Amino acid sequence: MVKKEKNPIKIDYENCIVEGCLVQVKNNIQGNNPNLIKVWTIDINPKDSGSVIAFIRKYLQKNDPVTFTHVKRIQPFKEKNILKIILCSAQLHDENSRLLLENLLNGYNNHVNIENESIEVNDKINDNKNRRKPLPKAFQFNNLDCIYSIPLNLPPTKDIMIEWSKKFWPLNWCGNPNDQILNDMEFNINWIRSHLKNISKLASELGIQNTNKKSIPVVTSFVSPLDPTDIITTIDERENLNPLDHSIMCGIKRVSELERSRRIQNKQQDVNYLCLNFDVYTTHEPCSMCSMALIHSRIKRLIFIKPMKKTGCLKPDSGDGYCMQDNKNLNSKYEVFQWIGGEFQDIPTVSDKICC
Amino acid sequence: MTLFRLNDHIHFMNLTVQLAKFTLENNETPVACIFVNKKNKNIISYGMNKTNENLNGISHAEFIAIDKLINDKNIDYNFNDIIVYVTVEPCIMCASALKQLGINYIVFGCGNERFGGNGTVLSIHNDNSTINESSSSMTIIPGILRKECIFLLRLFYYKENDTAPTPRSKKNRNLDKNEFPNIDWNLYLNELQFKKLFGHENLNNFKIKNDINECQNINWDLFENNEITAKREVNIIEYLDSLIKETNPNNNYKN
Repeated sequence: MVKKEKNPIKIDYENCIVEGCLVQVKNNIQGNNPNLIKVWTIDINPKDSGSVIAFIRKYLQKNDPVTFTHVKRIQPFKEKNILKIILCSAQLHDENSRLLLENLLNGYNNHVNIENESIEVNDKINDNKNRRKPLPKAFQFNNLDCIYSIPLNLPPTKDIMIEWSKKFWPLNWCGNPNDQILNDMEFNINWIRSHLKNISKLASELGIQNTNKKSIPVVTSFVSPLDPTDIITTIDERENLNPLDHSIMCGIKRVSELERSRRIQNKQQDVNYLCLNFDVYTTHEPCSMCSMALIHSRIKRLIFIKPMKKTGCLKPDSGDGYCMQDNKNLNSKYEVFQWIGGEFQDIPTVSDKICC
Repeated sequence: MTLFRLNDHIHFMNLTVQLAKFTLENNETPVACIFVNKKNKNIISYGMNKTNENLNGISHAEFIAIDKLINDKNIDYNFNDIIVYVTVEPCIMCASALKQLGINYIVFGCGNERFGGNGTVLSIHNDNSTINESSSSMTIIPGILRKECIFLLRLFYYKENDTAPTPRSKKNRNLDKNEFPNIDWNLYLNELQFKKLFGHENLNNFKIKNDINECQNINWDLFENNEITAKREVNIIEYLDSLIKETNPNNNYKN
């Protein structure tokens, strides 16, 4: 991981453009519609905040699947002289866990009181020797509730962050999270260029044949993470036998066929699992079937050249705006970039009624 | 066109569940499907999930059945006339594949919470970006033998833990036979469509998110693990193969 300013790759963070030729394709709807999660909160007296934080650290924070680094855990209500504090997410203890949390809080406070009393008694007997440090004090709480919702992630801009802070719960600004994501990605622009050159050349050749034959000039390359010279290139074969043999589907099948024969012959020790962490290069933006097949195949990154306005499923403004690679309802994702450099833009066009 | 009644759907789904159970022996997620010709109720293809065997993430039951059908030179078929019976709602990829082929009639058992493409996560059957070769509208029928289909998945996850590096002790696991989640019919059908499919007598189940009356009691016979069932499992594939052979009008099969 390099610091943003030391990254040798030129990245325009505002427009999400890498080296002037790759634009990041992601779901930008999240900009205004945060992914919300419910949290458990209590009201406390400001003087008890230290004790409450100690309690949260010890009993809740470690196991909570949600991190609250982007959230101010404590919200003051000066007029009432109380602090509202987030205990944990509803992912740790769901909305029906009131009794459990009540018992946890009360049990802790009882335990603290008893322990501190015994420490006090011990201290009187033992003078200054063997003194135990008293535990944080017990605290009182009110309004144990699971009614507040907080955004799971920070928005891309500070302005939206301020808006969300007013609307949902105070947040901490730590910069656009996507900047760090982009900065951490690896790019070998020469490699990328050579893969795209290869598939666009093949697509153009198919496009010329296209006048006689009904083949669709879509080409895809799958590149293994274990060996970047191991390139599997497939073309659209739907006109042969199977109407579902789009170039991406053919590629996924080819990768698994090769893997099966490799395992039978036991040639190599390193084996691929599905298309895990593969880089995929394709000429045209894929359809719902192919973009989902790539989710099932666990690829790392897809780079395409030509958008498909009607049937594409990656760009927010293509087709139904699914953004399959970054859909919040799917628990798996992959990176997507569109090539916007000058080269390769003359690949054959495909009718907008074709699913690629 | 032959009329399909609820009993027909239950009959074909019964076979599909038996087929799905077969995959448990091969350590595959228990999902299976059967393709039926709408016009004459003949079974023309079937498939079981083979993602582990084929080492890819796209060998779902529907794709196996499509491959089988396409490669069977002896069967006359028209995608527009196919009813797909599948134990779990097709994922987004499969829902898209079926729609692109022009298959417009899908019956399934339980919803697919992670990847469902016919209502649960996305509704590919109603979208604009997935091009449909058929002009007729899509029929989606959820909830047929839903509990059996959920129980199959539970059996798989219960069993799978044995092979985990550190299997949890059996004491902490339980194979729940009594509690089943509700079904949110609204994801797949509106009230009017529901009433048309399952009748007025089922309308309350739509509101309270219950299974339809005909599918409320789980058929445990399908799961009993004795020798007879084991035999029946082997036979389900032979049985389906023989059905496809017998009913195929060309009958050009060489033995």
